[in-house]
Amino acid sequence: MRIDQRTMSSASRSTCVRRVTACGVLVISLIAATPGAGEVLIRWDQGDVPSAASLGISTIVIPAGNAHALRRAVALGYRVYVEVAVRALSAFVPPAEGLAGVVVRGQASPQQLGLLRSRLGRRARVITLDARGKWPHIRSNWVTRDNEMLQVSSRSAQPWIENNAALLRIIHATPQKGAVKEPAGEPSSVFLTYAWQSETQSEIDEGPDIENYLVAISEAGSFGGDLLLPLHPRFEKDLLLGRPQAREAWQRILRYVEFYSWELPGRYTPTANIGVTTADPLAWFEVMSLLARHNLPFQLIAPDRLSADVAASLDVLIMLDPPSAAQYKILDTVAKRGGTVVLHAGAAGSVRPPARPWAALAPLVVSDERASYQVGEGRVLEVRNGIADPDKFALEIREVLGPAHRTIDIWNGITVIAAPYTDPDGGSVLVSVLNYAHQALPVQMRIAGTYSLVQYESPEDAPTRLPYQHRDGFTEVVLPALRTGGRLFLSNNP
Amino acid sequence: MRFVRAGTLAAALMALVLSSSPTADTLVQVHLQRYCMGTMFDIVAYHPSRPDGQAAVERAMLEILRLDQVMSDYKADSDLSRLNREGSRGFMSVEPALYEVIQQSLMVSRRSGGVFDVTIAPLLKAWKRARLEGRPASAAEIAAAKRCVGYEKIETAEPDRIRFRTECVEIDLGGIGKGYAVDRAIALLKSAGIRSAVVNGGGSSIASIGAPPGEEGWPVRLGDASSGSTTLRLRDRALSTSQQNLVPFQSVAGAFGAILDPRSAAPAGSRTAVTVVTDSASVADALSTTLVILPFAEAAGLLAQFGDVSAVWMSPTGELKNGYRLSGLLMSDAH
Repeated sequence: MRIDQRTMSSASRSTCVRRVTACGVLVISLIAATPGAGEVLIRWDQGDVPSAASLGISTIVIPAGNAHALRRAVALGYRVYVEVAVRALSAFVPPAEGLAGVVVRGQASPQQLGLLRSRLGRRARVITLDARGKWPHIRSNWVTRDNEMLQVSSRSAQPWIENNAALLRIIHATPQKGAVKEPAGEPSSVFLTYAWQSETQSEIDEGPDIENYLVAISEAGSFGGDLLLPLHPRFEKDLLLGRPQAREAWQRILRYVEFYSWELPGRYTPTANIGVTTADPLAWFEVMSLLARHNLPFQLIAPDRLSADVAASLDVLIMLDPPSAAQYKILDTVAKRGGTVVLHAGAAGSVRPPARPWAALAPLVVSDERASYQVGEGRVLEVRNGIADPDKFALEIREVLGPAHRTIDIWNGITVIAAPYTDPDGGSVLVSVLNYAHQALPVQMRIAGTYSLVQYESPEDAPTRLPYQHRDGFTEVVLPALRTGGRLFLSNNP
Repeated sequence: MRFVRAGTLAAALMALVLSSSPTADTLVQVHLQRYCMGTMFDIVAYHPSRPDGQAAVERAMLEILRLDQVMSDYKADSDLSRLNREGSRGFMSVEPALYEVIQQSLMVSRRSGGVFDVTIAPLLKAWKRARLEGRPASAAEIAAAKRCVGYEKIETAEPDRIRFRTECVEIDLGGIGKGYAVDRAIALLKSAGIRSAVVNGGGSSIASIGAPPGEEGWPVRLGDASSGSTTLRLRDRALSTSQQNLVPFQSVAGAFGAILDPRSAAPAGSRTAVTVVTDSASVADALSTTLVILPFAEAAGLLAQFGDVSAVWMSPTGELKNGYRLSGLLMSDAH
């Protein structure tokens, strides 16, 4: 997210950057963003639109079919993004004024996007939507069918968090097909979006909790995603009517937007000591989603980029595709240097035994499900019979890493997903933490490395220094009450 | 003729039941979800007034959160942690809910011959420590832990006093606490006049009041949300499902599961999911844990001691394997 200063006077600019909400107009987003900058755009669906001053934003997304809202938003001085379905692109006529950009919903071809780009000229931006996202929440223990609520009973398990951490990592690592260049030369932005899917009649009546919006904003800000945030019709109507509860909720939304407007995921480098190699990340989406959910930060390595040097910084390399003979040599080297290589049965089993450099070794452990080999200083773990249960697989990867090699460990926070980053100089660490549970939890964390300064901040809490302990090369801290999103800065600066 | 009369009576009773069920157009649905006891608790209730319904649901949820503070063995300042620290010094008064849930635990322990045992914690810790090193617990570690295990080492005195007969006894209510919290929430909802509600503690402990508007009961599918195919209707009843996830050791053959058999002092080897349906969620919770350990052949003897109880055994992939008093419990596979 960025603060658009173009609508503010230069005299007030610096003050507004520091205290944006007090200035009345906080612009959510804008200016051409690099992919994954953490921008949030608000989508508005009602026919009427509140003034920019009352909402405190100057940019808004309106569906092309909502002509009245479009005219109204332009008349009120908003910079308007028009959301257009792919099938309506050819007939779309951009408004003569007030157009900030076009948001394309649906899978557009490179030709369609190129044509749109040329029609818009330099005056407006093109954004495409990735609708594969899920609205981030903790899944209830039921499913809803035909308006009937079906409770599901199974063993006691960790809360199932629907999240977009893995999807965002995949989007960042995968070149976008059909991306067009923006006037400044950078590729057009891809925004995540999703629909609120009510699970109960209560949610249909009332819409999402304010906490749902806060989690959505925090998730985009934590994992470096750009987000088109839809508002529930009930919430929009309440805002139009100026109902106190809705206005209070909106102020909290603005506070979160401001907190995450610093684009920190884009300025730091994601930290990950697990590598995942596959040519088809979406085919293995659940595996990666569960790794992220269990706080096992991973980096996606395209097969053609895989080398022993690339894998040198990893503790675990997960090979999800059948390796080529050359890749087997790389995997063997990774293991001999002390890394752990994990192959799933489909990968290992599809190649004849002679191609596996460790085939002649006596396995350490053999079972129907696993075979483990000591290879040089490291290990190779063959997962037989495929990865039937990604959750179980992710938990096993935690075991494989062991406590000494986990970048992050979290206690009393199984509804928390953390994203660690390192600053460009490598001297300090940023950990973005996100609690999906909608309630404040004291979260105990252990972060790899020893740091002498630990600072914590959140949209609800001013920056504060936290006490810490050093143990076995880790820094242990307790976040006193993590409600939704927050950040830890760890450094050795005085 | 007898059959006709019985059928007529049943039809009349059903009509009475349905006529007394709340209707959808007069009631609003209230839903509240909170994280507690390591999982998500959901309460759904129907009430003519949204504010009153919300207030009742919030009170019930607050009681669940309060009980977590009472029964947690993780929180150092919980009532249970205090009992675990000081229980061997002599009788001490404990929070009434803690006393009640421990009494219920001991009842199931006695009836199961110690297969269900809330003093299993030292053994569980020994196994968890060993697991971190990728191996099973050693014979020496097991022997040391077993000295501290045994429900008969807990002594109670009405109305609220408890002491441990051995210094190293530790109580872990993981096998019953969630069910107890669900029971307490149901009791509070009833006292607030709620006639249609369900309390779902992480999917493993569920209890209901009445039925949703226009329905005969709350449908509950057993097993994973995607694979489960056995569905039952819950009406003024409670159920619990237990199963364990076996995680292979990294350095040796074998696997660790979180349900230990006190008799062998080792993880139970079963991956079968067991669901127990009865009047009390806490009893259902304790029994379902116990039945993961007990072979099916021994289960009937235990269940017979609990009166109106049903049980379902499911394979890890969701197939119905065995049942106990299932008559009238299961629905057709409509979902």
